[in-house]
Formats: sequence, C-alpha cells, structure tokens
Amino acid sequence: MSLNAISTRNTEADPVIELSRRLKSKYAGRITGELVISEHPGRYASLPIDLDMRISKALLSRGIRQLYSHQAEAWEFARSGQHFVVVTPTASGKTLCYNLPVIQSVLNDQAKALYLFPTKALAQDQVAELLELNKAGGLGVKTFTFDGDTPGDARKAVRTRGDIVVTNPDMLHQGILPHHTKWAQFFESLQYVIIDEMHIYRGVFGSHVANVLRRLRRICRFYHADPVFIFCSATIANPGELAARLLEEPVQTINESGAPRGRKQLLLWNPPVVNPDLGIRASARSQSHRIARLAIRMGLKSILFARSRLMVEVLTKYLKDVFDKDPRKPPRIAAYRGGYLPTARRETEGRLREGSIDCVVSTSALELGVDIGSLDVCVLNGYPGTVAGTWQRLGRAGRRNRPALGVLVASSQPLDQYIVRNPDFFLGASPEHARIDPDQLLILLEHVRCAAFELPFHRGEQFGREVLEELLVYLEEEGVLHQEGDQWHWTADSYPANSVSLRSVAEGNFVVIDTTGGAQLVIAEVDYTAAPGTLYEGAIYMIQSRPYQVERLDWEGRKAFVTRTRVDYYTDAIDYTRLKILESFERSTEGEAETAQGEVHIVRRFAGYKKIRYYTHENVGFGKINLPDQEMHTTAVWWQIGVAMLERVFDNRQQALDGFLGAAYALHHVAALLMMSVTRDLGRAVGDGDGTWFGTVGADGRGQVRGKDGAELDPAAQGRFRPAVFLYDNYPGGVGLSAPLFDHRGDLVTQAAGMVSDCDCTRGCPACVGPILASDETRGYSPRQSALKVLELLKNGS
Amino acid sequence: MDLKSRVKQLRQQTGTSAAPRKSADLGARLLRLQTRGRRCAPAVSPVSEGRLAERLGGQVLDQGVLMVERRVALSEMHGDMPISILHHQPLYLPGMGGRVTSTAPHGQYRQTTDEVAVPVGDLLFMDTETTGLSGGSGTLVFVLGLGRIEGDYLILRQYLLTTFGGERSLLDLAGNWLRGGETLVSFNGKSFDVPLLQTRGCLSGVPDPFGKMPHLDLLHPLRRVFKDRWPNCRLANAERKLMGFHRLDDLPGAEAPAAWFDWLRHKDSRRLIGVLDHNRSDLISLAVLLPLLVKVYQSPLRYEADVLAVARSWIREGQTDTALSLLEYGRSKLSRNGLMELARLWRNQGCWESACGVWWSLARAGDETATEHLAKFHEHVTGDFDAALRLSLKLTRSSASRRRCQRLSDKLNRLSKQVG
Repeated sequence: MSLNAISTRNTEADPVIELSRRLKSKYAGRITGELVISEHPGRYASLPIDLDMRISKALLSRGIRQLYSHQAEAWEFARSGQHFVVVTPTASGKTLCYNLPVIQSVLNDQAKALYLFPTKALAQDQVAELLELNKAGGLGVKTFTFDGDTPGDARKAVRTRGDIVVTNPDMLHQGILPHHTKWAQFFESLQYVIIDEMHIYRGVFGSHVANVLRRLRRICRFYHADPVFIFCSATIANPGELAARLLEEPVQTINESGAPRGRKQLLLWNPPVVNPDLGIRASARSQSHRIARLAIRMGLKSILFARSRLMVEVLTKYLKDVFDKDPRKPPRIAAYRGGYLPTARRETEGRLREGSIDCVVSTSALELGVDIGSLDVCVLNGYPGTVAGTWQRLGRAGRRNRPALGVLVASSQPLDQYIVRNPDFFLGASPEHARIDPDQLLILLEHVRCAAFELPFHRGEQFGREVLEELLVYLEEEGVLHQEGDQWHWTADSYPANSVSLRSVAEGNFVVIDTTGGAQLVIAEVDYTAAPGTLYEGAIYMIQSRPYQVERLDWEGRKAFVTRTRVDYYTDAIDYTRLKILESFERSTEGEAETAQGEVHIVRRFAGYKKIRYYTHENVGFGKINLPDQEMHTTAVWWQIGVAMLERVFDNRQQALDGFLGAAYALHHVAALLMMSVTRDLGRAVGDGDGTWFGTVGADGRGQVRGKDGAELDPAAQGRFRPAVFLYDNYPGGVGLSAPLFDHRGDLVTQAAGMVSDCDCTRGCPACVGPILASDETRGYSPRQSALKVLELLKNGS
Repeated sequence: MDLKSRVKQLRQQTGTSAAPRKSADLGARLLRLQTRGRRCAPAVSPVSEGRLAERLGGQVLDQGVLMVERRVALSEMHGDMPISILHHQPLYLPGMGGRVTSTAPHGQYRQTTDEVAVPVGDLLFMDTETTGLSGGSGTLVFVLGLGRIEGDYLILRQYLLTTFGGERSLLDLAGNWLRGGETLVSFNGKSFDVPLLQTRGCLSGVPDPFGKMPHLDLLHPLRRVFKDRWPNCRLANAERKLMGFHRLDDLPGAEAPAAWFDWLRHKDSRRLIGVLDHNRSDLISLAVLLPLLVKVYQSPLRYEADVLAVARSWIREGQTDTALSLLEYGRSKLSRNGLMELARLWRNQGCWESACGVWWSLARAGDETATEHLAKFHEHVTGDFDAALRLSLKLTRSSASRRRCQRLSDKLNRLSKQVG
C-alpha cells in the first residue's frame, strides 16, 4: 500500500504545485507577481580549530562537517567577548551561532548561559534542539526551561544545576530577577545571554525588555559577572541599532548568511477591480476565502492569517459555514488569536500538530515558532505590515522539505497596494526600522520600582536617561522607597514585578464575562486601549466566530458582560480624534512648509458604531456609544503649509481639507511601513493644532470640519484656516516613534507622494488617499489631485 | 511640567487609574487613615533608638540592631499547657529528618526511641517578622526571633532591626548566639523564613547558618493530619485547638510591615511593641506545639486527627507495628481507605482472618476492591475456587476479571475431572 502511495506521488504533481498551477491559470489577471526564491549555494568555513573535540564529534555525528560562514564569524565574535547580532533568514542555522560558543564555555569553564525567547513555546522548541546535540555528543550539558509551567519542586534543580536556562523576558522579569539571590550561583558564572527573535522587541514590548536588560545587567554587576550578549533577528533595516539600543552598548552585526537556500514560491494577489471609477476592488477577504477553500478541497493543510481579531472571526465563520456544517463531526476549521484563554489555545495547537484541523485562521499570534506541525499553504489576508512578519508567516508552510506556497492577498489599503505592485520590496534591503523608547517615563518608572526591590539603589547610580534621583524621590514620596544615607531601599509590602506586564504600557485590562443562562464565565481579556472600540454596549464580540453581544460595560470595574446571541451582522466602532499641540521640540521650515515634532494632547471620542451584515457588508444600522472621551498625552510629528500659499493653490477650503485628509491617509501608511509598526501603533489626525476643529471624512466621503463638541462646522466660516497633518504615537507618553519619523520626514513625504501619483485610480481610492464615494464624481475636482498638491507642497518644504 | 504631574497624567491615560476609580481609592485611603488615626492619635513625637530599647526592655547591641531577651520559666502556662510538656516525653515525630535516621540504622530505633530523639537543649525555635509575605530580594527580615531551652527556662532572643544599615550586624549577632549542632524548629520556615534569611545573608555578604541546620518545620506534620479536619492549619488555629491558647490584642500578622515602616519613616514605635509580643507568642507556641504533635502522632484519636494519615507517616518511617496498633485502636472511626489500609497491614502480617473480616464488611457494602481481595484470598490461600469464582463474578467486567473467571472455571473443571 505504501509503495502505491509513493508511485502516485511520483507520477502526479505534488498537490501544492498543482494548486499553484491552477491558481495561475485560472486567475492570471489577479496575480501581479510571483516570487520564486531561487536556490542559493552555501558559503562554508571549517570547524574552528579551538572548538572542543567533544563538540566537533557531536556535530560530526549529526552530519555537520563544516560551518556556514556566518556561524564561523559568530564564533570569532563570541570568543573575543564582543556582543553581536546575527541577522539571517529562517532555517539558516542561526542557533549554532550561539550554541557553539555557549556549549564550549559550559564544557571548558563551567560557565552558565541564559536564553531568552519571546514566548514559552519557542523556548521549548529550543530546548529540544539543544538536547539533541547534547545527546549526539554525550556532552552532559544540562539545559532546562524555566517558565510559568516549571513545577515548583523542579525550580531549585534548574537554578542550581542548569548550565543553560531557557526562559522568556516575562519570567526573567517576574520570576528570576526579583529572586536573584536564589540564582546567585547561576549569575556568578553567567557568561552568555542569548536574545533570539530580537525584532519582536520593538515598540512597547521592546521598551520594557530594554529595561529588563538594564535590571539583568545590574544584577550581573552585583555578582561580578559581565556576560556577552548574542542577539538573533529576522531581517530589519536597523538590527545593529536596535541591539545597541536594547543593550546600551555597541554591538557587532553579522548579516551575511552563508546558508544555502531552498526554493519557495510566493504569489502576490490583487483582488479584481469591481468599480473602475472609484478604484474599488473586491475585498481581500473574499479572495482569501476562495483560495483557502480551494486548498482545503484539494486536501491541503493551510493557514490563513488575518490582520485583526475581528477578521479572524469573520473568516472563520465563512469557512465554517462551508466546511463545518455538521455539528456532529469534529470541526475542520479553527480560529486562533490572542484574547482566547491559554487552555483553548493549547488545545488548538495540539489538534494542529495531530493534523486534525484542515485550516486554521489566525492573527499574528501564530506567527512565532509555536510548533503546529507542517502546513502546505499559507494565505495572508492582507499584508502583515512588515516584510519580516511576512516571511515569518510564510515560513509556517513547508517547513519539512515540502514544496510550499504562499499567497499574499492585498487589501485595498495603500500599503498592500504598494507592496503588490512593487514585488522588489520583498527582495531588496529591508526598509523597516524597529524602534524602542526605554526611557518612556511610565515604563522606566515601573522598572526603577522593580529594580529597587531587587537591590537598593546607590547615589550616583545610573538607570536610564532620566535623572534617576528624581525618580527615586518620587517613589519615596509614594511610600515605596526609603532613603537611608546614600541608599534607597524598597519599603513596601508588595512584589512590584507582579503588577508590571511587559506587553503593555500599563495594566488595566478588561475581562469579558459570559452571563448566558445566569452563569458568569470569563471568556476573554481585552487591552485597555482596545476596550472602547470593541466592548461598547451593543457591540458584537466574537470568539471562534460565535457572536456575543455586550449587554453592559462596567468601565470602572473593567468588566464587559456579554450574552450569546444570534445575529447576522457584526459591529465596527466610529471614532473621532481631536488634537492640540502642547510643545514643539524640533522644527524645520522650508519655503511655505513646516514640519515639527513635539508633545500633543489627544481626545478620542467613540461616537457610535455601525452594524455590518455578513456577506453583503452593507450597513444595517447604527448605535450610539456612551463612553468617556479617551485622553492622551503623547508625541507627534506634524506638517503645515502657510495660509497664503494654501489660498493660492486651492480654490476653496473644502478642497484643501480633502487634500490634507488624503495626504494624512497616505503619510500614515508610509510611516507605518517605515516604522515597522501596524497602523494602529500610529494615529493620524487633521486639524488646526489647537483643538478648536478637526477634520474627518463624513459618511458621504467628503471632508468635514467638526468643532470641539463634534458638531459639523462650515470650513469657509472659520476664521484662520491652517490645517495640519498629524501622525502621533498611539501610546500615552509615546514609545519613541515620532522622533525618527521627524528624522525621516523627507523620505516619508516623497514616498507618500509617489504612492498617490502612481495609483491607477482616477480620483482617489483606498489604495492612495482613502475611499471616496460614487457621489464624489459630482465634486468637480479630484480629491487625489488635492492630496497630491498638499504632498508636493510639503515635499518642497521638507 | 514636573515629574510627578507627568507620571500622574500618563497613568490616568493608560487606565491604571481611571478617574472614578481614583476617587474610590481616595475614599479607601481616607478610611484607612481614619482607622489608623483612631488607633494612633494623637500624633507621636519621634523616639530615639535608645528610648525604643528602653521601651521594649532591650538593649542596643550595635548600630541599627536592638536585642530583647526574655527568660520564660517552663512552669508557665501557655493556654492550657505548661511549657514544660517539652520535657514530658522523648521528642520524636515520624519524618523528623536526617538527624534521626542518620544516627540510627533503619528499623533499629523502634525500641530505642529515647536515644535517637533530639535532646531538648539542642532545639532552636525560630520565627521572623518581615516586611512582606511575597518573598523575593526586596522583602526584609526586621525581627529575627530565636528561642532555646536552658535549664528550667525558655530563653527568647529577639533581634530587631532599626535601620537598613544594621542588617549585616543583625545576622552576624544572631549567628554568634548559636552553639552549633542545633535542630531548627519553625512553622513554615522551610519555605518562608529560611529562604528569606538566606536571601538577606546573600545580599549583605553574611554566611547563613540556618540553611544547613536540620530543620523541623511543624507546619507539615500538622497539616498532614489535620488538613481534612480543620478549616485551616495556621498556627493560631493550632493554638486554639490544641493548646487552648487564645490571643488577645494580638497584632495581626499583616500589620507587621506597616508597624516597621511607621518606625522607619516617622520613628513611631508604638506598633513595634505589638510586633515583638506577637513574635514571642509564636516562639512559645512552637515550643509547646512540638511536644503536642508528638502526642498527636501517638494518640491521634484523642486529638481528632486523621488516624490514617498518622498511620501512613509511621509506615513511611518503617514503624508498621505502631501504624497497625493505631489503626486497630481507631477502627471504628476509620474511613473506607483507612479500613483497606488496616486490612492490608493485617494481610502482610499473615492475620488473614482479621483482614478478611474487614474485606467482608466492605464487600457486603458493594466495594469492588475488597471483593477482589477476597477472591484472591480464596484462590491463592484457601484454594476454595468455588468461592473465588462466585466472588469474581460479582466484579465489573474487565479483561482482568474475565481472565480470572476463566482461570478459576478451568481450575474447577480440572478438579472435577480429577475427582470424577
């Protein structure tokens, strides 16, 4: 029987290749590009002469007779005690870059090493790999995982006997550093710290992790240890800079991979234009759904990545409607996203590994190396926002020497459209910058608190770039520190690390409670910042595409009470943002254009929500949202044009306003691309900058001017009319996105102008200046041209 | 904007303190202030270290360290119990630790309990007061209470830290009072007090003497036999139930950190007196609890302890006879598992009749395991295959029971052929 199976496979094309062939022949017009990552021969180096014989033997027994060039380079840096970062593609043997020097020092110097991975699942995979090498050579290196799942009675053994301890930043922060005395032996001999998947440590999370590393190094100094740090990262534009920012010391960069590369196919897919006048395309959702359906029918295991939790639920529902109609059969389709309880996620992972699920629909939650076995096809519903993220998601398919197919389905958003039209974007040098701000005041303060618990602070000590003593005095006033002589001691009956989550600026999460049938069951958790847009009363909140309606929101208690419901629609919140400039830090004027960067005050109002029917996606109703305004101080970069010039260039204020709104749309998307952030990390606004009016796109697709109370105003009736485009850092206090945006202001405006001028549409579309409506043809001017005028003026000014 | 207002503003925006919630916090804070006000009013004038020592009846040993010593006559009562019950019997508990088992070869000490028990003079009672219960390097031991027996007295020494700077010296001084060779007696000290002292020692660079001592943590033997009988196994509960000792005006343990912080920040010493009293009561309770636990493990029924748990402890210790006699004596109070254990011990000693008695009574009530034991008994001991088969047929069908029935009917067939 098995012979038969083999011969069938030989005569017929592999189903993955067959799928790709069918897609290409049937939908040739939709495929805008095809990337075949061609084979690439390897560059090799011999095993280092000073490599311990036992390790060479272990390598030989696993078939490794030589190293890739980057592995040899890593060896040299590590042995000479220099910090370095390795930037190479997935499956290029990056783990040997750190495993070799680590094992060598364990064998020869009884040294210890600490491995940090962003998630528990990755840590476990890593241990498995180390164990294999260890077993192959009988090396006797003891590797243990230390995380929330490590049983209490095993922890002592890990601390005292582990040569290599594998953990994650959260555990280091809450479980290891506050108990460092128990780890004294470990810290005393700590020679290497490995930080894998470094590119994940950006934005808020990265800013926290940088502070955890400050604490780690502080503890190391206490035990007179000075470990070498080795970072590994997916391809980003500034790996060396990010590593140096995380460590606050110079870091060497290795970015030439010597590993040979296999073949991989990626189709770029642009949904067909359904309304050429408006430049409206069929939704990415309908296309992804179609491709996934085809793959499932051909018996292929697939993964479908969606960009939002909501889209995961919608797509899951559509696929379940097709494949899981019979409730008696085990489901073939599963959803996977953050917000589900961990047990539910573990269960789905297990079923994926067994192969009992045909298609999983997921957010980026599955992007990292959670082991889910091998899949054949990866469909990306929309560009994930970063090239690094795209490759990582595509890496989900074809892990085990099987041909793999990825399909990137573009949405109508400008970034997506830009990407599918410029396939080179994937092949050239990465344009993506990862940014962190370890001195974000709230984040820094939390870690000063944690650090004070770990060891008293001494006068003159450094921790971050704020004046440390001022922070210490503040904490003393708060009653958690006490100064005695030149030292500040922790004096509170609490364990500060427990109240600091590395994954957000601050805790304040909402829990979603199912009250169906009188029970009270916590079914999900939602971040504070996401809550007003998803948990308003009347909202449909979905889990595994099962709709729940929010009955009551207890804002102070951080609870949303929901019940199971049956509706044929989902809900989407409408919000307005008003913004006021408080202070500008930097300013650059050229001609009539001015660019500035500084601190702003933002008021965000969730006015109401739309009910959107499944499948037809028509609006079937509106509801009001009664929530307090969300206020925030943050940093922003903004662009303005002189009043006189505006009046010269535009016939009227309505045109200028439409131009600014369109320019904001394009700038926002280009900025997200450069900053390697999702558009949600940045906010955009158009307004006068002192909070008296703000611009918004109305239901008719036209720009509107609204006043403080949200009421619509006549743009012509305003006194001075000097609109500004704002891009702001969407976290209280900012996490360092706006300063680099100011530095890249020239590129930003140039690329945004290019995006708008190169677009295929006539008057504007979701791919350049945002959606416009059919009625706009009566506008008499092209919103796209207006936006282009604004951008050209800014370009000459920047 | 100054740092304070910057932080405050940012906090509100991240949801750490929503505006309405804040007022609730303020209310709670006011309430706390008021209760404290009632207890502490009027505001006190700061007290010097020397004055504090006087008030507490202690002495300043070094900068930042006070020591209070009390001699408590063993004839004094602690609740209903004289402290002298320490002397009434050899102090020997199952699972008492390396000391007992390492000096006597396994199984030998059954007859010579007296020789291997820890001499009363070698006991070191220990209890600490700390700035928090969470552990970790930011939790400080500010009272280290030690006690030992000298002649007819229980000597209590409490080392009180008055400034952070005194910590090193406190650990040194306390260490100096030890003679070496002690057995530590604590309540939850294995997982709390000792690791904390080790942490403090590590931070101040003072070697820790406690981690290496033989350690008798009374929480564990207490919890083993009372966890299903009492609502909780805290020390205060053991005091009420076993010693008839009820604390009056005792400072709740949770207030200890605040008491020390009051002293540290405002040189307000009033609650420190309460902390030291509380700590002393704990130490005396340890001294009384140890002999009481010895009694509990000898006569569990009298203390309404879990007889089976006590018996199992003795079995682990190799003292099956003790276990058996405890189970026999408490048979009327035993649960099903207790009865099974009793029957098992009887069977192992060859007392088949007694064992079968227990099994029969359980089997009659429908207990499968007991029925199975009886079937085995008839198959392998009496050779009454008929009875064995009858019993086996009552068991739930499983591959094992089917095999047994098959085997038994085969044996019966063979027998009848032989007879025929």
